[in-house]
Amino acid sequence: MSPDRAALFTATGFFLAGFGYTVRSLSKGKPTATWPAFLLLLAGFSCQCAFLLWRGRDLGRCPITTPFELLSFVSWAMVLLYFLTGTAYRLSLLGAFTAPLAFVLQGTALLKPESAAVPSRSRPGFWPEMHATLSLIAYGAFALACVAGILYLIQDRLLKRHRGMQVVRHLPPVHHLSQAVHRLILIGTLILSSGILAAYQMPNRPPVGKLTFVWAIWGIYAAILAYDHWRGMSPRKAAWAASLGFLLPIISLWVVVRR
Amino acid sequence: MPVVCLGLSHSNAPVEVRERLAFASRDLPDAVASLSSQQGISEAVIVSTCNRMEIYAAGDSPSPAVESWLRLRFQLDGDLPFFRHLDEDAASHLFAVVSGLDSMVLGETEIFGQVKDAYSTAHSSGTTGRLLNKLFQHSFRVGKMVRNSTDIQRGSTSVGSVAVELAEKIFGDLKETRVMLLGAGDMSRRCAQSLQSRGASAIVVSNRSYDRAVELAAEMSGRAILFDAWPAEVAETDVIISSTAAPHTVIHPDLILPALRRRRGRPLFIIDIAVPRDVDPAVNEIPGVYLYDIDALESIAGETRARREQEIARCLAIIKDQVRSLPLFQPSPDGSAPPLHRPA
Repeated sequence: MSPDRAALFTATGFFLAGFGYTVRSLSKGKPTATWPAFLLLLAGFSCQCAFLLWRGRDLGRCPITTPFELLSFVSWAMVLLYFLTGTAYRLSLLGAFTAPLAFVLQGTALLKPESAAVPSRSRPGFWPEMHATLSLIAYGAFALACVAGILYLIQDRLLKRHRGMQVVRHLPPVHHLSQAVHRLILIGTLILSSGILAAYQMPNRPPVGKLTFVWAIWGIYAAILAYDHWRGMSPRKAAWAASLGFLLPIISLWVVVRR
Repeated sequence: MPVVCLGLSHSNAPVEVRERLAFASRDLPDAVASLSSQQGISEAVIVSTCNRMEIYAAGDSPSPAVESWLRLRFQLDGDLPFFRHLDEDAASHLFAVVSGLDSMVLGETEIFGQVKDAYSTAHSSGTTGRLLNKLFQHSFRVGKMVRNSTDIQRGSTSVGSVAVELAEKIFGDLKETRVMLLGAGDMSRRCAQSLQSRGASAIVVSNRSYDRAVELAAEMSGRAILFDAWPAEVAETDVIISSTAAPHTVIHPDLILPALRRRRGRPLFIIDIAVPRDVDPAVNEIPGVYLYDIDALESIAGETRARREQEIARCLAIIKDQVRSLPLFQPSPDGSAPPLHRPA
């Protein structure tokens, strides 16, 4: 097994272990010790970085040339954004729910038969790389907004129905979650805007179909922000929008992965 | 050298007896020094709180010496209302006390600090030696172990603490939280004080009797408003505690909805502790509004109490193991520690 693939396998194992640890703590009604889960996520992230470093060195460019690499890159971007936003807003449990999504994305990547192959060197240039990289990092932010949205919907339902205090105790406060959803959508939309701008700087523009799809994703998240700004969107609606809105990036990734 | 624990607590003595046999904290250093100077006692610690007065003593014949010292100090005649535990029993009793198993509110944590203070006072007065030092230091480890490995202290057991816990699960940090009291009842005051103790800053009081509102607002460093003015304050309020004596509901969705847009997604927590209820249950259907009435709060507190009761067996098993591993006492002939019961 190549070192980069081994690193990705190890990262996937860490994410699975992190998720398993949290589920075990929650099911036993024990206080969720955040440090073990955080350290497992950090270890997984380090392995992801090693994977991207090795892969990028072999390719001589950002490793987003195959579906295998794309999925791994989105997973890395999501974990990176968790470290940038989740810890700052004391949403440690968000990390525990980031871990399974990272596991699924990387598990899917590792299942792809071509995943072991290292593509031949190609240098697409600065703007195409910027476009692809920024778009995928934005997808990472939207993925994390989806996770925060789902957690909000669970916590909101339990608090409304006066049930499941054991679970309520372990989930982050609803207000923090709704703020996280809003911030992550804002961050994702800003990064995706930069990605789209980069696409228009490319010497050869991407196909119209691909650009239209990216604009559609941007449009959905921009509409959520605009609606919230001018009309005031309830946190529950924003959480639903963040959770369902991520279907579009998922579809776009799926289309690419199926190629 | 035998160790005895002699004392009384809320479980075997009413408050009239406990207050008579209590030690003021300023008197403790002298009292414990006087006790340890008695013949037959070489080490002593006195634990005196509002719920218990317990003396731990070691020496050649600590039990009669403690008894006669108490008789003399408090001028007691006849039968003494004290429980008495010896050696392993005394150790297991101390471990149970430190773990909160013998507290009025099962699993409460304050007792841990109180016992630590009592030990510290005795230690600084020079009345502890090898035996009691080991026993008390071990008890603090056991207390931490019991709390960390069981659910004995998890959750809230009173209406006020449940309200605080829920507020923290809705807003996170309560430092920026603004509270409005509708009605100036005692329970709503206590609830607001619990929130204040966790950082809630601004308190607004609205009551049909404006004078009473002013009085309560002054007591809580808050602001009083006329009763008719409360709907205008909803946009700026995070927690409403309602306890009016109105025979019908006072808070309706049409009074809350207009304020929500100005809240910009910030949730609203409404605690209705009035009977009959002050808040129309339909308010709970509004997104971002969380309504809890007295039954809902009581039910959460009751669930926690029941869960803590279920944890007792696990706690006692830990204590039993720890007493067994304590190298202070001679093992019984069959090598087992004496049977443990939750202190009565």
